[in-house]
Amino acid sequence: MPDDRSHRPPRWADRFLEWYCAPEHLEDVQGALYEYFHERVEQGQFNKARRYYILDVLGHFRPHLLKRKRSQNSIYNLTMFNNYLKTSIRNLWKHKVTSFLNVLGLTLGLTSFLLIMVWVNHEKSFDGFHEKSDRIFRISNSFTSETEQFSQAPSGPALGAQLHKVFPEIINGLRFGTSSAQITVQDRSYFENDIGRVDSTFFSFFDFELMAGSKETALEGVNSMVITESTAIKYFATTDAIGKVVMMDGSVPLKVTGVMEDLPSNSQLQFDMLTTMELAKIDWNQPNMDDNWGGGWFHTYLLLAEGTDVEVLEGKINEFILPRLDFFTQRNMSYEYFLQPLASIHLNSDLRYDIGNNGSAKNVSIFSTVAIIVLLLACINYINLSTANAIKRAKEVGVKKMIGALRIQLISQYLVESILVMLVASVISTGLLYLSLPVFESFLGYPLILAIDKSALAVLLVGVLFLGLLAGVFPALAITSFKALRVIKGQLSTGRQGKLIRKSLVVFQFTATVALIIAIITVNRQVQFMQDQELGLRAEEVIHIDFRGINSVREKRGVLTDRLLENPAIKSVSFQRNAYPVGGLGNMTAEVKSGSGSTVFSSLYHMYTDSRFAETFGVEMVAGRFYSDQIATDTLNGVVINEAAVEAFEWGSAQDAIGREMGSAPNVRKVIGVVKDFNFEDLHSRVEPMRILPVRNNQYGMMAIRADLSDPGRLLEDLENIWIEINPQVPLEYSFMNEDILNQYASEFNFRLIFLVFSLLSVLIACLGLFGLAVASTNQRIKEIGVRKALGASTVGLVKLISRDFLLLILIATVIAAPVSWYGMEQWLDEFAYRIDFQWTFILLSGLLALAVSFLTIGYEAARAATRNPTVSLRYQ
Amino acid sequence: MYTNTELINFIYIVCKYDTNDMKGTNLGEFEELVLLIVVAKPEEAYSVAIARELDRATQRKAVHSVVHASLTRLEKKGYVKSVMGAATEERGGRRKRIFTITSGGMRALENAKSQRDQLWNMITPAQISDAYAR
Repeated sequence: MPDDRSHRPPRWADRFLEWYCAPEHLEDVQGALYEYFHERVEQGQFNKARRYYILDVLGHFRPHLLKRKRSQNSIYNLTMFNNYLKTSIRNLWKHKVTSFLNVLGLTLGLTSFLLIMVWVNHEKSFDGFHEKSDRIFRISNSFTSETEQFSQAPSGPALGAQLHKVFPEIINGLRFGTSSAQITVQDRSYFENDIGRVDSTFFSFFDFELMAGSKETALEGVNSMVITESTAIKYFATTDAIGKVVMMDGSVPLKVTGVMEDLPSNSQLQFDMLTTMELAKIDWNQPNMDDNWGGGWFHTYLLLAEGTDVEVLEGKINEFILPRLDFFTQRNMSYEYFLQPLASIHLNSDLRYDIGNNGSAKNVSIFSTVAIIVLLLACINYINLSTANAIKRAKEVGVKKMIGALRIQLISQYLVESILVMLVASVISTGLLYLSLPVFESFLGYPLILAIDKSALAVLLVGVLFLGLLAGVFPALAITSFKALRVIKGQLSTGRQGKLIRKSLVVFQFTATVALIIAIITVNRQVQFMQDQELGLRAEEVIHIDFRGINSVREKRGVLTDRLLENPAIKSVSFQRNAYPVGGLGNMTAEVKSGSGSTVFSSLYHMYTDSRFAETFGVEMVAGRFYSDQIATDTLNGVVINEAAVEAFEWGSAQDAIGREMGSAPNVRKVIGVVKDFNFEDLHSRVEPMRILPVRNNQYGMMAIRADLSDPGRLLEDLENIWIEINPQVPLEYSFMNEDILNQYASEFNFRLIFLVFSLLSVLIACLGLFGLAVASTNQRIKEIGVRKALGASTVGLVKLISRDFLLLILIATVIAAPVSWYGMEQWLDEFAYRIDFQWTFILLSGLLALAVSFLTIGYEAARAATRNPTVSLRYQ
Repeated sequence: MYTNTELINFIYIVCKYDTNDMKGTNLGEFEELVLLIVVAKPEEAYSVAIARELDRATQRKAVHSVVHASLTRLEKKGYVKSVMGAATEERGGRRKRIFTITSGGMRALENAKSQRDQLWNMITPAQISDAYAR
């Protein structure tokens, strides 16, 4: 019976006892407990015996039986600590190359990490600084019609005006929209794009500070206006602007009632001035706007009462609005409203017609990952270099052990050293951070909010200590594990285990590096691809002139066209209503008879142009013809659509679409032409259905010129002269369409650049580590190399011998990196409507690059070792 | 480094400190019982057996860990000393620690007994019967 394995006390309890019990008591106590156990088993109460055994083990967890601390000389001993510090500094000084590589690697890693983290923090801090931000929600909606479905940020004006009167849990509503206008200050005129139109509740929602004026009354009067500090300086050269009057669009006087601080860059709302909603009603001739529920007019914010259940409220709102949307319901269109927490909009919302400059949570997590990888690489460098150099310090450890140093003391010595290195690196990094921040900001194009307070410093300090420990522990364990006697005798070999760990760290390092190189290549190719993408039109010769629909220009467009066309370099002139190509097109609804004969209410983009649009922009016709000034019916009841629209309405081929009808009586239009799809938004999205209509009521706002740009300076001069001659009051604002398009990809360019910089840094860090390792390993093999040389090995052979190990590691790293980066880059590419495919050649190329770079790094050291005179190396040691 | 007198002073202080650490010569009630058993049953003077004997003699449950702690303290005070005895099968081949009383221990026991005897001698039979009468 006692031999039966199952009739033994629980193993874990036994282990626990062995762990805590002082060795001088263990045998006696354990024996006693076994005796009790045995006795109970003899009584046939096996389960009870096991249970009691556990209780007994726990019961003996008493002070007199616990293990004592083995050493009185703890690491907290101040005298010893001073000694550690002193020896550490001496050691670092003695091994200058290693220390330099260590500090350099860590500094680079830490600086990159901090820089990225400042950016990540900035992105995450959006709109969180308002005191009520957790209670402010934006009400946005998903729109569904028979042909399409999309979500948009703005909602109908009635929501902001009425919802808070219906639901007690909504304390207040606020509408925000922007528009552009010409502002005249005395005799100077400015085109302003960012004029906010808001309800008077604005300052009760957001904590923007007023430098002058009162938050309660600033937006009360119809013609009140609040301007930002920099606008005040631009207009009046002073912030003391209260009571001053400016003219909007030449006819509406606006009186400054408040001057506010400039908006922080982490606010989603960006504007130069605020005017009132009451003014907008008059301005836009919409006196009954507040009863209009449908459409997407304003960004609408709701301030909710404390503890409101958002989902329940969403349900109630939708239920309440539904009967008020009859106009849309009858046309099979519907709106589904939803609430977005203010602070989450910047990173997590991707809706049509958003205020712009929205970030991407994906990019934030990509960069956070890069930051951590770079930091890890730097730490691994430290670990590798310190461990590889352990051999140099073996004698020191040996002697210390001989005179009675405890292992814990030796370990603390190395930990103090690594924390010291880490502190030096972090001090330098902080300095570098402040130096490099302006550069970083200048290519991001916006200032970063750098929130450094006590808690951030504390986190940094704790982080540095932790990293110091993390990086120091492994080398400390490795170095102190040497057997003193063998070290003194000179019989020394670094353990196979240590080598394995070091090798896997190198593999990890290069996996990260190769993955980053693959990412660089992919991002590069994608951005290149987007630049080369056929837009469906010829943008390279087009100049845009934005005259913001100023009447005097509209009236004189005939003269202007004639005068411009007299210039031989100018080939064509066209006027449109909207800004193009970026997000300037409105989305409206139309009634269509689909291919299957049923009536469909569809939402599609509208573009309003004159008859020379196709010619000026180089848009090709697939079927039919473009508008003609000679055929009067064209402007009356003709319409031009794009291929995407033909497909959406299931009209078959482009040719079949000609003559189809669109709209309801009396506004029926016949399709007279189909244009080839061309991109009118950016390449993140596909070409959507669109129709091109003639401009009505002379509502021209933009002008485009197709010209021979071989001598742009001369052309622009001519253009300016003609412009001033005809429209002396209106400022000439022109841009090259090519540049406009490139500007759309600014965020991709930034992404590419940031990625490139940090990836190169990580490659550099990895190379530093590799170089250090190569130095260490050739030093260990000096004698071997000497012997081989003496026996006739060639230099090339020796270089091969030394590099082979490392190159193999890099090969392994490439194999590991391939699937990881393939997956990651597929995720990233998925955000683009027009994207490249991930190709295996990227992996091959990255692997080769990594190989080449590391061969250069190791090769130098290997060649040096291999060309050394064997007599010297044989005398070594 | 140290002069002779300094060293001697130092050792003196350490020793004084050491003896001060002991809780005088007084025995606790439980300690007294344990010590008595060690004397009375020298052939079975190890923790488990002592605990059993305590059970039997006092009719109350003696927990092994408490007995063990008491023995450890007695040894620290110098009242008992111990040697490792024979291994037995029921102990999983582990040896037991056998305790024997020291002269100091015996003195402490006798001391305790004489203190009690002195007090008992002050009590008259009449006082005892009085107490039962209440």
